[in-house]
Amino acid sequence: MKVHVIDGRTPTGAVPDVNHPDQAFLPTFPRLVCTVVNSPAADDDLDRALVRRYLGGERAAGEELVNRYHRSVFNVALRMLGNVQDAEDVTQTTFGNVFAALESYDPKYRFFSWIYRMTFNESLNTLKRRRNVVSLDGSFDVPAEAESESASNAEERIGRALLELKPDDRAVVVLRHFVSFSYEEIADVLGVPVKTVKSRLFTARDRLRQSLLVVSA
Amino acid sequence: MSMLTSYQQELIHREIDGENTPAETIEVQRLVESEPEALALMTSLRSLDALFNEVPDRVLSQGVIRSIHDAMSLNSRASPTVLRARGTTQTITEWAIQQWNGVTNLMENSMLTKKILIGVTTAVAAVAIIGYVVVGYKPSVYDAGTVGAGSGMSGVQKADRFRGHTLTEKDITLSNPAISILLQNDKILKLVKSDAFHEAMNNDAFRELTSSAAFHELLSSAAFHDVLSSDAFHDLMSSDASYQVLLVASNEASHVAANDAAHTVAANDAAHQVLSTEVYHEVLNSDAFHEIMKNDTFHAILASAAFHEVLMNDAFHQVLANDSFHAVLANDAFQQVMANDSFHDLLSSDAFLAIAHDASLSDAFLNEAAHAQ
Repeated sequence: MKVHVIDGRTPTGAVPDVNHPDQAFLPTFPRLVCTVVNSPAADDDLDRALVRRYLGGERAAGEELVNRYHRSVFNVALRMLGNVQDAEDVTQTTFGNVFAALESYDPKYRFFSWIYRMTFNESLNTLKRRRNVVSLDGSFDVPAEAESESASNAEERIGRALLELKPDDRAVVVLRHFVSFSYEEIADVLGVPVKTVKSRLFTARDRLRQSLLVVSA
Repeated sequence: MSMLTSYQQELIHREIDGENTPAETIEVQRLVESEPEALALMTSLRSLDALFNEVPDRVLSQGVIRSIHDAMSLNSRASPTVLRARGTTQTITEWAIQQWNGVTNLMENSMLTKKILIGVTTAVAAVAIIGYVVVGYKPSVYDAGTVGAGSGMSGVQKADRFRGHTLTEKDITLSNPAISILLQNDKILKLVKSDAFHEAMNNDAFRELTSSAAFHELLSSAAFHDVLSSDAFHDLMSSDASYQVLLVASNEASHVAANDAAHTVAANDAAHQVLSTEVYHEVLNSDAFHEIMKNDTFHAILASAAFHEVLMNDAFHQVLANDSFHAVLANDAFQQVMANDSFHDLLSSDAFLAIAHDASLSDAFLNEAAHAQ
């Protein structure tokens, strides 16, 4: 199992293992940062241990779980919804659901897959509610906050383009480009075959290339 | 029409994603060197990837993080308070989860935590509000100085004026303008005079709860005061949607509406309305609310058998379901009372606590209120 870490990010914020043969390819096709960890197993073991400790009555373990995941859960929801307020709601609700259902968590599954699946389910619920209740323009509503204009610009362009995608396609792109998950991990989170992940990702990226790169050309 | 085969395109996508084997990587390098179209695809995908990499990670606000921690403690079996009082708090927590889960057949799971939060908070607030009406008073025999005139709340005495004096039933009057204003409102009066209200007031558990030191500690805490007196809470409690949520919380507690699908559906809509309002988020994200959630006293109240009994009490539910009670929540005068610093001081006073501990004093006020007008 490989997890690519772009810009220093891993699914759980862990420090990546930079000693990996795949880096040999970097000089030919350089990316901003591309390191690979051998396996998220170590993190996953830690997650399981935290779950056990929390269920055993140690509140601090639950807090650590929150601290490990709140940022990535929020960012996933934000990229899915394009709205800060909604993303905050989804993050809160996701953790609420996680802790309400923690006893039913099966440790044979990866915790991060479980929590991201809940995040996506809740994001999809929010999107459905938007369709049913509010005016459904799906407008991008993420106030600029980045330090550089370039970053703000990139965030807005990507954010708007993502909202043009179907939610299923968007989910794959978000997991690939914001969480740096492998195809297999994306399939695991979304409960679809790897083949479907690839199909959705490649199609979505082609659309994004058309909508984003033509503008900048 | 692309000249690249599907396989070649996939190879290039996979290369960008780091999914290729070393052999496939070499294949891609050769393809890019020999096919301009492959180079173009690789270049544009790299540009896209670079654009994604420029997007900064957003940081979740501290207020939301605190909310998550607070909600975790409400759900938690790990809370020391809960563990100490397992027989009661655990029951309440389980009740809340069970009830809300029951409703979840019609409501989304996602609302669970927030429903518990708003349900518990509004229930405590409701108990507190009813408590205010019962024990709010101003002994007219003390005519020295009033405070709060600037906010239109003159007549609410400073707490320390009552210290060291043994209160009697004679001290309980309606001369406190703030209380008079409340009781001049026909709906509030109707509520106070209602059988359900009397019954709720005479409920032993209610008396035990409202006269407990913990309850008064909570009422006199700045955090609770800040929440109850905030415009956001006012707006929240004044809305029909909030009222529906309050109703379902109370009715579910007594299982009255457990099978009332129509009611539940209405509450579902109401919950959605409430949860989507800015004021709800303002309350939920306020420092004061978070302080309450972390407050040991608040947890002690939740853990108390009295609070549980009050929640399960039919009379209490009837009060909550009473339109007049809704009017009380929405009443400006009532909100002014709650927002008034002097009233807050009064709640913190020893004298106030003494009255709450003395059933005869509360009865005297109630009787006078019932005979007003």
